[in-house]
Amino acid sequence: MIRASSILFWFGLTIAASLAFYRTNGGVQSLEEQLRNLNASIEAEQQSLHVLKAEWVYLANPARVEKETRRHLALRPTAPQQIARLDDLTEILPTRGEAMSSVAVNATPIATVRTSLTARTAPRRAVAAKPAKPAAAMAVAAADTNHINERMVIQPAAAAAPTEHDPIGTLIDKLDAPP
Amino acid sequence: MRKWRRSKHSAASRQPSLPGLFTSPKSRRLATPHEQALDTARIRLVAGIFVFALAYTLIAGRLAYLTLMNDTPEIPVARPTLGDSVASRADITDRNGITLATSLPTTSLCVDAKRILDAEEAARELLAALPDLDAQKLREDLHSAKRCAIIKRHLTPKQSYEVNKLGIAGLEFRPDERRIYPTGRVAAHVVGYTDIDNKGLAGVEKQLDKRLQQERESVALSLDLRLQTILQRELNNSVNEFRADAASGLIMDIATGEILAMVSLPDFEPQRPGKSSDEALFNRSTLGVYEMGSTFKIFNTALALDSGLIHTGDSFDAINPIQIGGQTIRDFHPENRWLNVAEIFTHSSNIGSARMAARLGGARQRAFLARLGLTEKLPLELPEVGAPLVPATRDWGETTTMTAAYGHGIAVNAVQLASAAASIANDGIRVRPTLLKKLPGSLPEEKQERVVSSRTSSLMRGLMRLVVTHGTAREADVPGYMLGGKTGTADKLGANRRYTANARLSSFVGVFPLNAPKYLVFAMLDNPKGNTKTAGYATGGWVAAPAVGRVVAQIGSLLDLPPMTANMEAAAERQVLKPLGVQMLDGKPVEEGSNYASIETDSTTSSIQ
Repeated sequence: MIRASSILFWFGLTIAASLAFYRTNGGVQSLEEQLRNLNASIEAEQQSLHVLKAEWVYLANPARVEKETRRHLALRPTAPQQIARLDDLTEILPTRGEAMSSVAVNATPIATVRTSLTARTAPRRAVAAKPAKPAAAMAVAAADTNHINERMVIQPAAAAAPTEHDPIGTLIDKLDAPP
Repeated sequence: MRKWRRSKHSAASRQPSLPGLFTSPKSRRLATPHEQALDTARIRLVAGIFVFALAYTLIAGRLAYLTLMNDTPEIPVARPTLGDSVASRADITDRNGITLATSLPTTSLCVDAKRILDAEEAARELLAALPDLDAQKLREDLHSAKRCAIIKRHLTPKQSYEVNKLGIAGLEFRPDERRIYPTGRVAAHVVGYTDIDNKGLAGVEKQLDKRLQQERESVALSLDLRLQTILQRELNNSVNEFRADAASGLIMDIATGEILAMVSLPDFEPQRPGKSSDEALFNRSTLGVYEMGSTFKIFNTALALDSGLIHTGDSFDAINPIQIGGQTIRDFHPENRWLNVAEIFTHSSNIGSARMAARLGGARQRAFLARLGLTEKLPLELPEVGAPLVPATRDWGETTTMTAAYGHGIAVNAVQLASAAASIANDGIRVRPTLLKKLPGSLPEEKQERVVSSRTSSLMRGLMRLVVTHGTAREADVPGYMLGGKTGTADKLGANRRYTANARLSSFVGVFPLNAPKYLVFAMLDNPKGNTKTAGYATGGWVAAPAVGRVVAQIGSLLDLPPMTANMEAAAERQVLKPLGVQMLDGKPVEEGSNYASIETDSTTSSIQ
């Protein structure tokens, strides 16, 4: 009886140990798989980060920004006369007496200047407040975040089959054939 | 059976089982050869058991240590992250870390023709996927015996996906990388370019090729992309305005010798240098050596004043042109009178400069130019550096001495000229140019090498200011920046080694702010043509000086130098002109205390006018 039970005990222990080993082994394998995937996606992220950086330098290249600025904006290079140190304001700005006399000569009360300033900024504020329909504004914001997410998170599968986005190819094409 | 039993018995008595291993030596006394052999076996067995026991004990001990006593966390299996750089060739950046050259991962496609089943079909499909392939060469590759005949280098991910989708057996993809220059042509001459295998062929790419291949850490150049862009744009504007053949220019930090911007026009697209002319690939700032003309008067005058033999007030005969060695030295705008040293410098008189040099002598002059680094090849982090053309010492006669005084008969490159001029302005301490960023604070205290005295340097700064306020470079002045410098207009040697009257190099070397010199800006235009705005003139003062002025006006605030207010500038100007003993009144330099109630009376030196 003792003999039979001890055989049973050892046999059971063996089975239990095998099961435990099997389970652990499976767990380790799936963790390793996870790790491989993570590493692969880190690599993919790093690569897209690298490409995005290069693309950013291309887009933010001063020569390019300047060209676009000249095309779309009225901005021009800053002249030295437009720059002043805070400490120099006492020298540059008219003194109280000068200001008062010039006001007297031009008969332009300071209050009027202020109103004209607010008048000038007022329409801008109106423009800013225009998308007052909150739903539409939120939709735009949501679309933007979606877009960003789409761009930022490159799934390993997507990185392998870049049918939609091909940042590397696009950048190389742009550099190879500059406008 | 019996026999067996007995034999077993006797065997047992002769071959004791394990408990008998440790029998007393008594039994060995009667050792027969047979028993001796048994003894040996026994000892070996004991040794074996001992070794195994030790091994098991060690294993058990190690096991106990690892499982029970070791409380360090498990070794992480995850690989360390790859860092920022994915590519194997290091990046090149400007001084602010903006990428000027980097590499993108691509794939290269090659074919093992033996594994191709249907070459014709493969060729047709590949041509459909990659239309820019050469059909003839592709068919040859598909029939070649090579294990890996390269079909196309640097496929983009999308292209390699398209090709992979074709499912042609025998095609192989190899990881590759392609060098790109995201800022385009802006810094092309300095950065250089590589061949298809990413091997440096020009510029820093070539000079630091090994370093770029072996280390991942990116190389930071001394260039500032913003200044580079401004300098390139303004030189381009000048080239267009004056229909010049070419131009070059640079901006230098006088204190450190770092070159903040360096431009050579025409330039090229580093992405495809093969499509550019040799003219465009030629770096005029370093490889081209030129007779610089009157900018050399900076050195002639500095030498004269530093020698102690000539003072700012000394006058020289500039009435008639000088005939020497078959050449005629004449002035561009002849004053036809005696001129003092300050006048010779500000009006850029060749005759006066030649007479000054003749009084100093050739040996002294040559030694001084050598001390400024103008007679030897410039050490710089570029493969394209032109060695200066300098007459040999035995040929350095009076003619050479007189012509070198105003920058003819000796040819140097632009960086050399700028460094030498910077040294004169830098309180007389030699400036050594570099294209690599110097880390602030980590500079090893370099041995300061003096080329002229501090006093001479301050006199020269005063003279440089006068050139801008009432000399040949009035077009360069920028209110608030206390700019000074020297113009140069050199006749170019024609094909017959004779100077041609209508082809010239017009240049200006400017230093600002002169009261505490920080930066130097140099601009040179090759063969500019005057226009109505310049009254037909194409001299350095008319074409190069305004370009430098425009550059200074834009870069000042980027370099943390806000413009001085009128009062501050007036004070700075007094300080700059004081060593000369002159002051500025109604835009004219006059001897201190001559007309108006003067502030100080420093009666040391000269007057102008």
